[in-house]
Amino acid sequence: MRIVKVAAQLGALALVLSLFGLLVWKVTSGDEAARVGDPAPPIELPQLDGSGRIDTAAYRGRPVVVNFWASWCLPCRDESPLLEAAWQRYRNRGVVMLGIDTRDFIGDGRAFVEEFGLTYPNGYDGPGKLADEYGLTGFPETFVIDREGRIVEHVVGPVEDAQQIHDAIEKALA
Amino acid sequence: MRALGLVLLALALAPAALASESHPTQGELEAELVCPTCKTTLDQSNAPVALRMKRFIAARIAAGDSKSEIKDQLAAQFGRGVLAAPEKEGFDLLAWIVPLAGLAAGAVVISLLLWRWTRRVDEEQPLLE
Repeated sequence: MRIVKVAAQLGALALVLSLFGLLVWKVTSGDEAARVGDPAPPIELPQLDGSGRIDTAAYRGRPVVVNFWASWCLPCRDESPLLEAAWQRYRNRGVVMLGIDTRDFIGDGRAFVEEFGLTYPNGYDGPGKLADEYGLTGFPETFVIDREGRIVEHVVGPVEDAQQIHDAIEKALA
Repeated sequence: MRALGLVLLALALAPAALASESHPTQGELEAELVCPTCKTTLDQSNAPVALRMKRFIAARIAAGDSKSEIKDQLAAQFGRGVLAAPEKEGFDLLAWIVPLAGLAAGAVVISLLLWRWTRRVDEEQPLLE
């Protein structure tokens, strides 16, 4: 009888410790935000227009600008023309511009692309899984990635003017 | 008698549950869905995406969609994370089972302890007389 009692006590203790361990793990193991200098998380998403998939593995050796946006995000509307202009300016120098429509209705995202006449590829990340991998804290956010796949610039909030995005892209090209 | 009471209670609640499924209200759905940016239920949020989702819900209710259909459509766009309650299937089923199993296990332990305690009191009683 005593053995059963000790075993039950040990079992209860093990249960409490394992639940506590689970709590500590959950609190401490949140997604790490992507930082300047870090390798950029790979991107593999369906295209917003349904025409295929986006895979950054195909852009190895080229600078990539990744812009997270959503149709309901007002600052995203302000910066979209700047990004399109930067894409037109740098596309012939091998720069890739990727828009990622995140936590949005796919139909709203497509209408947004059409409204602003965006010609660069846009992926769809409805559930925000990729946004979590990049550690997004709001909308919009832009990451500029160099030829080695490292993040060289991170713009939190909208790109304010053309010079800001040009400087970031030049850094990635250097 | 108790079983009959439970059956009557189930019968009384069934029409309400069915009505809620086929004719959901805006408030019900807002309480059962989560804003994907602020992680609170929609009824607690005025985030831009939450406002957009509320407009979507209103439009789908007006179109006659059921509660499950509306939830499925939102989950298809934003992922299953927009559902406030865990699903009753797959791994998420554990979230429903574990608390009930814990309650049942606790009830068994307390019953055993009470049984042992009352038996001990009964055994000790003659010594006191």
